[in-house]
Amino acid sequence: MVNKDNLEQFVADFTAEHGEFAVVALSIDSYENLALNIADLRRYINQQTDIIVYYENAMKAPTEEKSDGNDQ
Amino acid sequence: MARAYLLIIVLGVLGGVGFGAWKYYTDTQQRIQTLAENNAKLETALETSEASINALQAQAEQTAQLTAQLQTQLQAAEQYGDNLRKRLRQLDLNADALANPKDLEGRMNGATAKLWREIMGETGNDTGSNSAPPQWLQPTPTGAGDQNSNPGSEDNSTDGSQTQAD
Repeated sequence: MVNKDNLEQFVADFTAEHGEFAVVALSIDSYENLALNIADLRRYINQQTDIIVYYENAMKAPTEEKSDGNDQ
Repeated sequence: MARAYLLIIVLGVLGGVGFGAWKYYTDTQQRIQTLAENNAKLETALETSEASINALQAQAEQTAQLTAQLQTQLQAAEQYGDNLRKRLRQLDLNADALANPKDLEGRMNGATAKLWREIMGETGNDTGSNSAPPQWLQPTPTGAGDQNSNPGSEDNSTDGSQTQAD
């Protein structure tokens, strides 16, 4: 996290470590958008998992579903 | 002579009646047998129909239950994003970045590590929340804050999965 107060120190430390100063920076708004996009990906993964489990259970016979107690 | 004709006529009538009775008896027996066979077939068809109806009812009941369960889970999957939006509205990350960038960086790293572990756990990783944070979350010489990237220390995260205020 770099702001105007620690920018010079960051540039110095970074240049000392990497030789050249070239970074990929992210504004706060862009960080929030990135976080929301990752949250959307997580939602999509979880919902797809739920749908797959739904179809797996739906393919089972009702008696089998009741007997094995699998309610996922 | 007339008696002989009369006898022949009587015998003929009696024979006809006897033949008719025998024919009626055999035909009736045949019909009874056919009806019994048809009855057995109908009983079998009825049992099959009842079994099919019961199976369909059970299937419909199961489908309704699974669909309701799926709806609940799909809505639960929305919760993280909703909490994150709510949390980001509550926070002023620009102000936090200006006031204490090191602290905010640590919170961001902690939130990212927590989210990473949760995604790993949700996608079948056995280690789940006990797994080590990814290498890119480790401290770097130029990095300021990583103090919250360890397991169990992500309580002050900015990921929005927790709705309580810091």
